[in-house]
Order: sequence, then C-alpha cells, then structure tokens
Amino acid sequence: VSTLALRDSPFQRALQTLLSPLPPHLPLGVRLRDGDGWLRQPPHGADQNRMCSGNGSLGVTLCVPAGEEALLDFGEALVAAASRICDLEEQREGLCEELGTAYESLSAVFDIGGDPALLLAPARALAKVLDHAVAFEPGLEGAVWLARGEALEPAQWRAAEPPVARDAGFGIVGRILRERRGVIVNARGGGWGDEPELRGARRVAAAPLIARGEAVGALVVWHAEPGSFDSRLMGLLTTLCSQAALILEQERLRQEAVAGEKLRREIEIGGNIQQVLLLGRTPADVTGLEIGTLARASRQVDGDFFGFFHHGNGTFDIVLGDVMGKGIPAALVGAAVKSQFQRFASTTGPAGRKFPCAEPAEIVAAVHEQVSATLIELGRFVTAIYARFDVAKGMMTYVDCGHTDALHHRSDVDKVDLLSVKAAGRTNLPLGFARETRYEQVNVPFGPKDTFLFYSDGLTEARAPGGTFFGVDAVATALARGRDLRAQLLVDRICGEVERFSASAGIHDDLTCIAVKIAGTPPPARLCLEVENERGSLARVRRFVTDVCAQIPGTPFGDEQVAEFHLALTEAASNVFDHAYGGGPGTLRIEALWGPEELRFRLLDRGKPFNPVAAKPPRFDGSVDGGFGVYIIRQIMDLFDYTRGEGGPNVLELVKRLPKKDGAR
Amino acid sequence: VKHVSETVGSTHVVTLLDEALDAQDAKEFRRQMERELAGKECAVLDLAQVRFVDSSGLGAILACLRLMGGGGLRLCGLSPEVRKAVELVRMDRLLDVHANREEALAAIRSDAALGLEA
Repeated sequence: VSTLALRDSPFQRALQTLLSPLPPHLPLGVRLRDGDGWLRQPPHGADQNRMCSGNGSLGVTLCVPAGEEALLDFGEALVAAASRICDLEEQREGLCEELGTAYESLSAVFDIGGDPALLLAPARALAKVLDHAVAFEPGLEGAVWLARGEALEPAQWRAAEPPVARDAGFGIVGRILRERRGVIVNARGGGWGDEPELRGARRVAAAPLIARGEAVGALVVWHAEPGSFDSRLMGLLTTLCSQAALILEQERLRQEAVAGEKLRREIEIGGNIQQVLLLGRTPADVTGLEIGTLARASRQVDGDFFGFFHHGNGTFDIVLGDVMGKGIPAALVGAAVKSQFQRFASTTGPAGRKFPCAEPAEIVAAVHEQVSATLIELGRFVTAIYARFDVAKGMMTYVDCGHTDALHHRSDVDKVDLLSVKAAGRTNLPLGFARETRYEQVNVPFGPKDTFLFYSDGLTEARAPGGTFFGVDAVATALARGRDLRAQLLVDRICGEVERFSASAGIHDDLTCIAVKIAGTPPPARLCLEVENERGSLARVRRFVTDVCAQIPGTPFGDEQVAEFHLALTEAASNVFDHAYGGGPGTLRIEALWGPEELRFRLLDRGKPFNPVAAKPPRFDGSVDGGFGVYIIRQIMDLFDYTRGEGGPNVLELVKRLPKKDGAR
Repeated sequence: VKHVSETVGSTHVVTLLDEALDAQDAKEFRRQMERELAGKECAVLDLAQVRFVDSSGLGAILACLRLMGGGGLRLCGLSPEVRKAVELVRMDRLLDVHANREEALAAIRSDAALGLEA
C-alpha cells in the first residue's frame, strides 16, 4: 500500500477522530509516513520520533519532546485503535452484505457484542463465541486457541478430548497462524500434524483470530462424521473471530488504561469509545427532516449515546440515551445498549410484518428484555428516549424510558410543548430498573417547520456558580428564540447558552442535544403496495401503477405513458424477485410518491444486495434473450437509482418528471 | 401459458390467450414453444389478445426466433403497448411484424411464391 492510498483513507479518518478530543497542550505530534502532512501538530516542536505500523501497511510517525517518551506508548495505542476501527468498519460492511444470506453471523455478533457483561468478561465472551461456532451443526466440536509467546493455549473448548497446550507452530492452528487465513479440510487424510483432539475428525475448519494486524489465536471446529464444510461456515467463523478479537482488544485497552495508573489516559480512551461507538454520524439526507446534533464531552467520560436508523420506508428513528455512571464502564455499557437498539431497530417486525418494521414500543421492549437482567446485575441503569418520525403522516411516535422530557416547538402557534409521559399519567422506567415493566408509546402530530429537541440532563442540570440549575424552562426559551435557525445552529446556540450560564462553575456532565426540524413544505402524496414473489404479483404491480396514475391531480400521464410505466415497474419488480430474492420467497414493497414536479416509485426489498443499475448494456442482435430490463427502465424513466443503507433494505427508485402544464392533457 | 395452435398450409400459427406475457410466465412459454416449434420451418405468433409483454416475454420470443434458425417467425396483432416494448428492445429489426394474422399468412405465401422461404 502506498502512502498515497493512506491519504484520506478510512484509517486516516479514524485516527483523526481519535486525535481530535485530545487536549491541545498534549505534546504529541502525528505525521503520515510520507512526511508532508501533520495529522496533529506537536505544540512545542518535537525531538523524539517513533515509527509505528499499525498493521504493516500503516506507516505513521509519532513525535514527542524529550522527556515525554511515555506518550509514545499512548500514541501507539491510538494508532492501533484506529487500525482496529477500520477493520471493524470493514467487518460491519461485510456483515451488511451477509444480512440476506447468513443470519447466524449477524445474530451471533449482536448476541456477543451487545451484552455489556461480556464486554467486561473476556473469558465468558470467548466461550459464547465458541458456542455460536459449534451451534452451526449438530455434533460439531471446537476450540479457541490463543498464542502466548511460543506456545498455543486452549482458551475454551467443546470437545470430547480436551486440547492441551502446545508449540505455536504445531498442527493446523500453527499453519493458519503462519498463513493468517482460514482453512477448510473436508476429506481428511492425515498430514496435518497429529493434534490429539483431531484424531477422530473427518473434517476440520479453522480461522485465525487477528488483532492489531497479528494472528493472536484461532477458532477451530471439527466433526467426527464425514461431510462437507462450506463457505457459509467459514463466513461465520471469520465473523466470530473478528468479534473475539474486538473483545480481546477492548480488554487490552481497558487493562492498559487501568494499569497505566493514568486517569488522563482513561479519559482519552473513553473519549475515543464515545466518539466512535456511542455517537452516531448525523444523517444529512432524511427527506423532509433536518437534523442537528451536538455532543460535548465533559472532563470525565459519560455514557451519553445517540443513534439514527433509516427504515427506507419514509420513517426515521432516533435514540438518545444516558448511562448512569461515568468512566469507561459506563461508555461500554452505553455502546452495548446502543448496539441492542441498532439490532432491534433494523430487524423486521413481529410475525411476518416486514414493512414497516417493529413499532417503537416493541423495539424498546425487545431491548429491555435483552439488557435489563445484565444491567441490574451490573447495578447500572440507562435512561433513553426512542422517537420515530413519519414525515408522510406528520407523526412523531416516542417511547420515554425515564429520560429528560423532549421539547416540541409548534410553528403554527409559536409555542413549546413539554413532551412528558408523566403528565400523560404514565411512568416509563429507565432500562435496567426493573425486570417487569411495560413501555408505552405516545403519538405527537407535527406540522411544517415544527422543531423537536432531545437532550441529556447535562443540559438542564448545568449549574450557575451560585448553584441554580439551567432548567428545562431556559432550554424551552432558547428553543423558541432559535425557532428559525437551522437545526445545527440551533443546538450550537443552545449549548453555548448553557456554557455561558455555567461560566466558571464548569460543565460536569456531557452535553448532548439533538434538534429535528420538519421541512417547510408538506410531504408528497403517496400510495403503497406490498406483494409476495408469487404468480400474479406482477399483474398486481401493474394495476397499482394504473391506480397511482389515476390519482395524480390533472392526470398528467396518458394511456401510452401509463403503459410504459407498467413495463418499467414490471421490469424492476421482476429484477427484485429474480435477483435480490434469487427466485425464492420475499416481499416487495412499492411506494409511489408524487408532487407537482415528479412521480417517484420506490421499490424496497429485504433480499440480498443487488444493484441492477450497474447492469451491462444489452445486445440487440438477437444473440442474447435477457439483459433488456434495465435498458427498458432507463428508456422510460428520467432517473433510475439504487441505494442500500447499512443493514437496510435494497431501495430502487424510478422517477419520472411530470409533463409541463401546457403539455398536459 | 394458455394458447391455441393450428397449422395453416405449412405454417404453424400460435395464438396466445393470456392478457400478459411477463417474467412469471416466460419460462413456461419458452418450454411450450420449444416443444411445438421444433422442426417447424415457418410460424406466426398471434399476440392480438396480449396487452402486456415485458423483457422476459420478449426474451422468450427471441428464443423462439433462434430456435427457428433466425428466420421463419413472424409476429402479428401487436397492441400499441406491446409494439412499444418490441420497439424499445429493437426486436422489430430482427423479425417481421404484421398487423394481423391474415396479413402475416399472406406475406408468407407471397414470400414462398418468390422463393424467399427461409
């Protein structure tokens, strides 16, 4: 990998994210290998340099003044963490690809990554990793190996013959540690060394556990019956190995932080966790909504987190949470709880209801079910608010789990409402408060130019030097005053006011704040259809198209044009059934949206990623029967586009501009 | 796929009875035609009842055309919608299209008289 590729690489971005919260006076300089740019300028010059290579290809130079050599270790930990984050990002993308085909991997990752207790107990986490691996097929045996210097030690095993520690180069594990890639042996005829536990095995699969670019262990499964392991098993093993590596890495970072006796370092690492895991990227492309976010970390890490979930069907979810307690454990708990929200927000609704996905109250109940026992065990609880925006319906639906009350500025009456479930006669407890509790959701209608504000208690409980709280009324006043600002500017202003209010007293809590502004124009009209991959469904799609065209005011499209839409939509729908669902069962949702400018069809499916837009142009000489579908769609529509969100559905969009008035019939 | 077949002189005439020929019928139609058209020199596909054909349906027709060695297959009775689809994928350049079954049969007769039979 050349240094050119490094520039503005995901690695560089990750490293910058980790560097940005460092205090400005920290005398650490970070330079890329080619030397022509500082990722971070050293404030007082530097006379000690150290090269570090995160995973071989990532050459980064760290620079510190003489006498601060200890900082080089810290810098190296950051580089390693950035490299790890890149691996994880890649892994996460890989996971989304797999969503359609290998659900086992996904549920395994969530099961492990989402359990806060496991993040703090690596041995139990590795046991769970192994359990997921051997659950792939009845009769599987398996072991997790860790390399300790020149020796290989079995960390966990599920085997009739317990594996024993051995030389690191020995046998199949030794081989994959050297080659650093997985191996499947189906017709086992000896020659792989003679590990005692594998003597009766007829087939073996093994994958390396790679952390910080080094093979540090392996996950091995084997079966005494003949048969065939395939790439699905390898996919699962690879995913589980990455998960195990993450757990080990987190444990290493944590121990490093604790053993390093430097609270400062803990703050930095916690801050990194917060930046990377707890705070989602602010989405910029939500139709009909504008989002602004602000997260200002306090001197100590807090467990504030937020996340955003697109459903691809016109609804959009926000979760904002706050873990009681501080420090890295709180941050890890926050990350775990957030990952549970992510999991249940992106899975489908109960019993066959594929679109829309589960209701907010169902999502919160599922998360509660999943995390409460552990939170109670850990003696922690989490307040959160989960809100869904349905722009087409003009409805916000939220579930409050003991969080601070959100605010709603109603533009038509210029008034701020406090969204309090307590006022509605309900009390929703924080997650981890009680095993048995019910979460209810509340509907709040909204109109154009309304603003919602979600925030953590750091905002309302900021204190002036005299001891008075900033309070919710002051937040509401600031919201009303800033009603015409863009969402991002609004949250910046509000937090600025809080900081001025606290002045010399200082802010002790994280300030976390999300503003959601509703667009000024009413959303387009829409109709929806859901069809299964079965005989007759393409005809239903065409009838739907006819109905839609008949509903558009002024019926701007004539019969001939409608017939063309029939063709375009049939092509797009059969593409989904044939390719995203591979000819198997599956649901296709079609949304038609129209306004004065355009008619837009959105096709959503939960099949495997498939991008027809990338199809090759067809041949017209009669030599090939297929490949015309996409060409036809392009001929008929003004725009044909494909997107797929993280873990989300495939979305095809077909757009036709409405004819100009004088051309309309 | 519902259809009736008959032989007029040496020409095999297939009349489709379904309203649509789309991706969900195309495979079946193709199998049916492979059986029926095997060894035939000259055929007419009457689409007068068909209101909708998609690219898979067109693909099945192309397969019929190839089965017959590139010539000898004619289409007739195309509705404006079907004609549009045929033109979109430029199939009108690959085979003869006639207004109705009578014109198609007449064209075959005159081609035969001129010795142009494929």
